[in-house]
Amino acid sequence: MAHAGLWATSTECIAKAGANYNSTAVVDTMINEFCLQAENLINSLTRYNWSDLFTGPATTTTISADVWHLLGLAESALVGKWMLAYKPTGEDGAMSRIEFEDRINILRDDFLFAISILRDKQVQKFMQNATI
Amino acid sequence: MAHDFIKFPELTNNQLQQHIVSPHPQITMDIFVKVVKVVDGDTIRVEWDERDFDFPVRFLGINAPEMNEGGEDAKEYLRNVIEGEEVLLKIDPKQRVGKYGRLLAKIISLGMDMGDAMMRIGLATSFEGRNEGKIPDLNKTLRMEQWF
Repeated sequence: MAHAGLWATSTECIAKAGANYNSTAVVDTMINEFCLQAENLINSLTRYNWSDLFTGPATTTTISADVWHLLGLAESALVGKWMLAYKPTGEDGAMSRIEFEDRINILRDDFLFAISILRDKQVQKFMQNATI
Repeated sequence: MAHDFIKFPELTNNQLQQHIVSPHPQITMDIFVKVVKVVDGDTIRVEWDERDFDFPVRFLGINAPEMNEGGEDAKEYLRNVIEGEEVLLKIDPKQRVGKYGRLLAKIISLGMDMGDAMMRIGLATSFEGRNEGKIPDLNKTLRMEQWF
């Protein structure tokens, strides 16, 4: 199935979720759904339609690759968090609560960090104008 | 002595207990307001439907550098993100009013705590950590004048 998310690939999301996420249940279809939800959330939170500006690494002609990875960072952190949260005890059922919470907190912090930057209208202008 | 409501629109908790009559509603719980101006990295001016004037709000729990100490970036960030926007003021009933009589609140914009956001990207520090890294004023710390 083609990856539906625009900004982060499934591989990037899986890397963010890290080892021992429940890969049996969290399949690519689900990751795609998570990606679309994450993109909608990011667009709404930043009040800017990034999906119009950035249509994916293969097709985009309006935003520079020097800056669009920030969108992928935000998206993959959020999706990785949801993937991990699908089964907090991990695929092997042995992930401790402390490890789970640590990993969730890291992803949450990454996401909020990226969003704090993306919400800045000066950053939005900078990203739009970055040389392609 | 009568309270100067023009200079200090907020009554402290002590003053509220003394039943001082306020010409405008006092803020004791969370409210939605519109940000009309960013004063500096940790103070904004807001409009509230229940008052016919705008008033200052100091971010609770964070400290941004003063304008002459590099606080321009923090002010600029806030201007870019929340100026003109509606935000939620989350009031801590125990810490409603701060130094200089300003209302203290956590400022929530689109579900995000803006104080946390500013700390996360390095534009502000926690209020407790505001003096970390500063060279202490030995005259003040040791009160050297007392020896002379």
